[in-house]
Amino acid sequence: MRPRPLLKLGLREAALLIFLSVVLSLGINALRTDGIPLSENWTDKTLRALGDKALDLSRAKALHATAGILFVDAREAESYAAGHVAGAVNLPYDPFNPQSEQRILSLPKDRWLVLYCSSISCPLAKQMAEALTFNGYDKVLIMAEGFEGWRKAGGPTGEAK
Amino acid sequence: MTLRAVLRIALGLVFVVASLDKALNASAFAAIVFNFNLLPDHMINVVALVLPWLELLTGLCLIFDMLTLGAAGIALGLMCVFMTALGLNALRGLDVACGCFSTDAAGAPGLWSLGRDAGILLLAFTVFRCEAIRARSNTRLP
Repeated sequence: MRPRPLLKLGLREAALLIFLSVVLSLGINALRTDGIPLSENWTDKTLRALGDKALDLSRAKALHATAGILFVDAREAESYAAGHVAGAVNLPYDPFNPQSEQRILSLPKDRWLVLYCSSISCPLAKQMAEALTFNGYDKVLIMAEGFEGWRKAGGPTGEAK
Repeated sequence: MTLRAVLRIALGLVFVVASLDKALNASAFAAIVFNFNLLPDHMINVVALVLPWLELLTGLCLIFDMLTLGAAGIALGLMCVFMTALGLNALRGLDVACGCFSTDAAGAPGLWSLGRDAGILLLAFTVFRCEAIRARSNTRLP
């Protein structure tokens, strides 16, 4: 009938716990030598980490029109079927599956490869690029913004029949 | 020890175990939070810092029966948030590391994580109900 005191008690206790967590976590982070900044531009950080392999969308669109460039979609088959960069091949990548490691070695070494996955925050294209580089591929680029960025930029897309 | 206490302590242990690696490796956990693609960039580090400590304190409170109603409420709320985040990414076809129990990129496959979290959510719901009933019987209503 009268849940108010119970709700108040629960909320007060929860608020105290959240307050303690914030104070403890931020305090300990400030004291740690390997503490992290409270705010970071992760998109920027990701692009920087890719170094000279990163390919921005305008360059990717220009390259797409060039013959001899192969776009490789690292996402799962369902995502590929729902929409992909026109002309891209689908090689779903899973760094913990040896079969998928083997499959990517079927890619040609003599063509420039542009790898992508869903968006800037997905790790698959980067992981695939690392595996390819490890196996002697030196013509590897990553379209970091992924298919999400490609679609927003109005790049040509295809759908599986 | 009553069954109610066993369930509460079990839930507390799950939360403590889940929090440790993430609390120690904030940087790796922040990368996982970024990969979930659900938060704006400037919120990622704060969430990655505070969340493991909230889990740890919630777990300890559940184990030692302190601030128990609030802790049970937070546990239930967190499980709903985790399930939503995992579910959304499964729907979007983003196969990202779960970041549930560790900062290891080789997490459990998506469906297994969802099933496991559903089990923990059920446990959290049961504990929250038990604690609400207990608190109601202890609270003097005006």
